[in-house]
Amino acid sequence: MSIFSKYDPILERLGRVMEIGRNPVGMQFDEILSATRGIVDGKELLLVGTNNYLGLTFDEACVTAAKDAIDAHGTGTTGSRQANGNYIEHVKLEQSLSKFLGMASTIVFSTGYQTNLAAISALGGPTDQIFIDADSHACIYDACRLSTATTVRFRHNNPADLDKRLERTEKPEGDRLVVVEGMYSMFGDLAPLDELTEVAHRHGAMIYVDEAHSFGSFGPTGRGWAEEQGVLDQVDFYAGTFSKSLASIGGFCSSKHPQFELLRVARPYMFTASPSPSAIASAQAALDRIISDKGELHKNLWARAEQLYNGLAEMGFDLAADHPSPVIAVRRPDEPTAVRDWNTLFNRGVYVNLAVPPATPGGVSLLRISLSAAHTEADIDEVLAVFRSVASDNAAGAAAE
Amino acid sequence: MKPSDAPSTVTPITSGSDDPIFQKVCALLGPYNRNNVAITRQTVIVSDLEVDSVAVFDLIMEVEDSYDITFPMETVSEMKSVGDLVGTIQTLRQS
Repeated sequence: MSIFSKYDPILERLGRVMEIGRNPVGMQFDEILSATRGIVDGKELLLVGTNNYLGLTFDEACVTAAKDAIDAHGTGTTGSRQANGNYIEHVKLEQSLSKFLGMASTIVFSTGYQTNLAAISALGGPTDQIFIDADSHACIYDACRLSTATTVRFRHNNPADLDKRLERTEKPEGDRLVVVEGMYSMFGDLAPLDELTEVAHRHGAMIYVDEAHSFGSFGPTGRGWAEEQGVLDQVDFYAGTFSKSLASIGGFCSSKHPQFELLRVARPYMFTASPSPSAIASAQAALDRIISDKGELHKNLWARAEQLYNGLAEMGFDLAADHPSPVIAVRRPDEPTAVRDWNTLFNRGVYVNLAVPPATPGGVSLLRISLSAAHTEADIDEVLAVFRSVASDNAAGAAAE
Repeated sequence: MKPSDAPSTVTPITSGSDDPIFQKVCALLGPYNRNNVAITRQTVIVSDLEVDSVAVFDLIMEVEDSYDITFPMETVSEMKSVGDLVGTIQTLRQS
């Protein structure tokens, strides 16, 4: 027995995965060639598992902005903004995001995870209640644990269930907050934000929307799923990340309530280093691209999403969402099948994410694909051809048994 | 060995099985009990039934809807056994 013994079941599970092939959670890319290509063990892979929705990681303006920021202000901030002070990059990006989203206040955080951890935990006080969607990301669960509020879970994407639980739960002395996401990261399914917002506000609750996977890639001008649903002006708190469409690292939360500025006392904001000047500068450049682009950037992303979704559906794959989106998840019957298929895809030059419980809703095993505006029609044809070969091999294997 | 001295592994005892709340909890646990373990009040939900953390929260939602109660998430981690769950339901119904 040791302090590590509690992880023995995980080790055993990983051992079973490794018997099938590679370690899907320990990949090492020796080179990243572009937004859609990388090299592992000398093998070039087509990347469809990177959340690089707008394909801006090698965008000339973003790369130049990052390099210029290093030249001007160095490689790191070496501390928190409370202690070391604000860099001009932090302040300007917060102002840009507030203006873009029409919000009164924005706070930039060091990662997307820390954004939700900080904002939700600081909003939820001891006399408050937080209602979260059952399929919320781990950082939302962790934020609720860090908060002192009472937390209640409601059924995924179900406004009627939220309504029932708000009604059933005795009103608190303090306030109520409903936390949902725009697009959910595992299945690529979308929240009925218009209905959820109506239910929340009818019960006197504020609504917090995490648009980590939908900012930049949804909405006529890239303002996210809330914009597309026509409720952006009703959202009380809007969270996002820099590590997906903005092709950097960091996160933000904006609010229409000017008092949101008070949340700079949140522990995950105060007691960690602020994002580096280069990370902020490239996020700013990516945001500027989205603003000036007026929705053109994500048109190809959606064309590729429809191409892939329709192609996989025609082949008979079990897709988790009933509509195309930048995340397309293929359900597999069990974990060993998912692991085997993931290895086959890898060996044939396509990199997707393997997603297994408890990281997935409903205990399902998934081959999770995330698309990029940088993917070409030929790229998606290649992905479809490899999936077709996997389906063919599986059918042949089943027939042989 | 008395039941209270039993190790955390499952024993095929159904003491208190006439309690309707216990019966209801056993029914709700059915879909999660893949190995058909004999459920007692001492059964530890996560380890004995091999239920992961997400599934425990799903189970709690079923309990909430069955009894029209609210089960704050922060109380879930304090419940280990089926008996703990039954006791919490009784408490919440009386409050």
